[in-house]
Amino acid sequence: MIISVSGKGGTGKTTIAALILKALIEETDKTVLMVDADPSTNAPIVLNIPVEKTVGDVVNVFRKKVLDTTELGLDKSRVIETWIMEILKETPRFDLLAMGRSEGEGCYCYVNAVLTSILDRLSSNYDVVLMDMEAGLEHLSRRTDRDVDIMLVVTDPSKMSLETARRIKELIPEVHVEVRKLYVVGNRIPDEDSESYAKTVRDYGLELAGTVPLDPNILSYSMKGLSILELPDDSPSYLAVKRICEKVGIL
Amino acid sequence: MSMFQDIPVDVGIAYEGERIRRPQMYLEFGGPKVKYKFELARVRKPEEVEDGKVKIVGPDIKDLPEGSSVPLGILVEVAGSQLEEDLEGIIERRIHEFTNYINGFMHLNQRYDIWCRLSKEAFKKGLNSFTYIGKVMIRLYKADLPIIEKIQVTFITDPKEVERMYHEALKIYEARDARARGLRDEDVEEFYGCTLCQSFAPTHVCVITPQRYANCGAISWFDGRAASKVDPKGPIFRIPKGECLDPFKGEYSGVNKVVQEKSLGAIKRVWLYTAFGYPHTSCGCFEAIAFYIPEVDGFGIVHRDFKGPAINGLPFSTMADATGGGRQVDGFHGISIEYMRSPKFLQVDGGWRRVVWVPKAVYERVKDFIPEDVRDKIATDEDVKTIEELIEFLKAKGHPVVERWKEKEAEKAEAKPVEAEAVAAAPEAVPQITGMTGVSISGIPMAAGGLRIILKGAKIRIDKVVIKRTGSGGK
Repeated sequence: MIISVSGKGGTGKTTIAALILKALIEETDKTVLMVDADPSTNAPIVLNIPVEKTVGDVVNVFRKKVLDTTELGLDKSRVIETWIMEILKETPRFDLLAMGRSEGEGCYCYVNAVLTSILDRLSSNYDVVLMDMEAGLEHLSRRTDRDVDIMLVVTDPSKMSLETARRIKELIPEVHVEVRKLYVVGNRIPDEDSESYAKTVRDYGLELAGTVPLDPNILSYSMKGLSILELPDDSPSYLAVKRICEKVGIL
Repeated sequence: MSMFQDIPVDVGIAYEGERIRRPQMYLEFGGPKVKYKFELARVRKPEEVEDGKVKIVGPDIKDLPEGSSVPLGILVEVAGSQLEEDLEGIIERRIHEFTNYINGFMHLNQRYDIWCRLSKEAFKKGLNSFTYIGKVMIRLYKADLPIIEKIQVTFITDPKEVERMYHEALKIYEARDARARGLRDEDVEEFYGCTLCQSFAPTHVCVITPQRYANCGAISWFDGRAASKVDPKGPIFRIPKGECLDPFKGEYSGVNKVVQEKSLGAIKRVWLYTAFGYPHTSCGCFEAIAFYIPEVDGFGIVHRDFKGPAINGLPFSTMADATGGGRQVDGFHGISIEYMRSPKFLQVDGGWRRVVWVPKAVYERVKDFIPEDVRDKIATDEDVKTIEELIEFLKAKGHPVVERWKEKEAEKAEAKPVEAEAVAAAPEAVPQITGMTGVSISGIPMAAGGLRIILKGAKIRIDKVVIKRTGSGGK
């Protein structure tokens, strides 16, 4: 199953993705690959897992060192595959891969083609691939989202975030990305406003998976630099995300 | 597969992409935590190979502590009347494939950098010895490569022995690469094509040969061979050479046919080793541009990272616009750094003996491949800043192009001048800017059959340019 979490910047999509990860770890036996596809690389911070290198870093070194190799007998795609395995953060229940960003000009055609097949192959080894996508819509046009089973677009009380969600829904058929199910997750919505928010979402032509209330635990955990995965199981945000996961079929 | 009934785990192509996560891992061989590791294939004399034998030097899987990271060497020795040393690389690459077919065994990378893992589950099922892995490899090798008559496989885990053999292996890889660099276009049956760049250069088809690396500098002939084998219908594909129509220019019937197909008819002929006539098209990804400098009848080279204007006053980006997009543009040629190391590098135009200016950074990377007699006669950005300085530099050093000037001067003296200022260059070629729309020319000195057109700071949009040689008074 491939789950993608996207949405406008600042809506808390990385936090929601981390809470989904927590639910998958605690409620199932599934193996999970968490992909932080946001160039700002927030997931390692939220999960408190230090990531030394991103795929972008690897690509930069690869382009500098391996592409101009004197070792003609080398299969370069195997080199980059290995380097990606090296930067994969392996934990008992899930692995974490940070995409980062690659810099510099020049040709990425070959590297991107190689990368896509390597990531596809890597993904096929996990029961669930959970992607924390970039804010905005760039990832759609660049087709980093491909064949997603469930796309969750995180919104907040702002109109802008819902506009973004609508744009994402509109763009999907244009860029030939297959998304089997798309839901909105309303973040930082007080429980008592949940129903009126559902109506607003419907007015935008979207389907609401549920709302997540503002949770003081999240703030205090992030201030202390603790992992969201350690959040108490009775935290209101976690309970809400668990309900959402059940509703959309993640659990 | 019935041929693996005595192996405790399944073997098959379905397991090829299998990754073993650390929590599922029983043992790890090589990889980032281990300094010395390697795999190597050698062709031996028949009497040196005991067919079907699996040897283990050092502790076997069952003798190693669970969870540890262990040095590993894999040595595949083969014999056969048709086998040659040149096939060692091909045989060695298959180790990756064949060991990956084993359910519960992961193999990554190659040569001195292998990384393997064995899963707890496979160990529990009884995969507790290298003998099984060796047996699988031997059977797959023999089934897939009948050319192999005898084969033995040795697994080395003894740290001292791995280290000793590692250093030996490095020398063998190096010698093999040196031989690979010696591989000529004439020696192979097929080239490879790449259309990865067609998304923005729809008529561009890269022709990748042993002596002409892909323009982007990323794909060697060997990479092409590997990629086309994995996905024959993919963007990197085989080009059977067909008939060699001109060995010097590098024209092949097979190349012309495939390029025509893949460019949807836009490109009909390709001369691989020249920047004039029917040059190889340029995508947008080229690492560098070889650009013709009419004033000195020679080539400058500018690479992507070069800051500021090149010797002709134009920055890389401006020339890239004129060069790229899948066109055949006379005198503006997108190339890779590696191609500059090839003996076929612009051989029709004179190769390195026609190159007059390169950025110092490029010079340093390729200087060992520049013919000795011209190596110190090529100017860099540190030597000269203007065309005038370049001319003085070339004269002072006695660069081979200076001889060309003299010849042209002599010719010019004999011939009566035509209406336009005759240029020393006049390469024997027809301008190839045909059938393209939206060709932009911005201050680019264009070398076009005996004319010199210099546009400075001009912005012109031309739908069609027809340049005809008029009268017979030229030559």
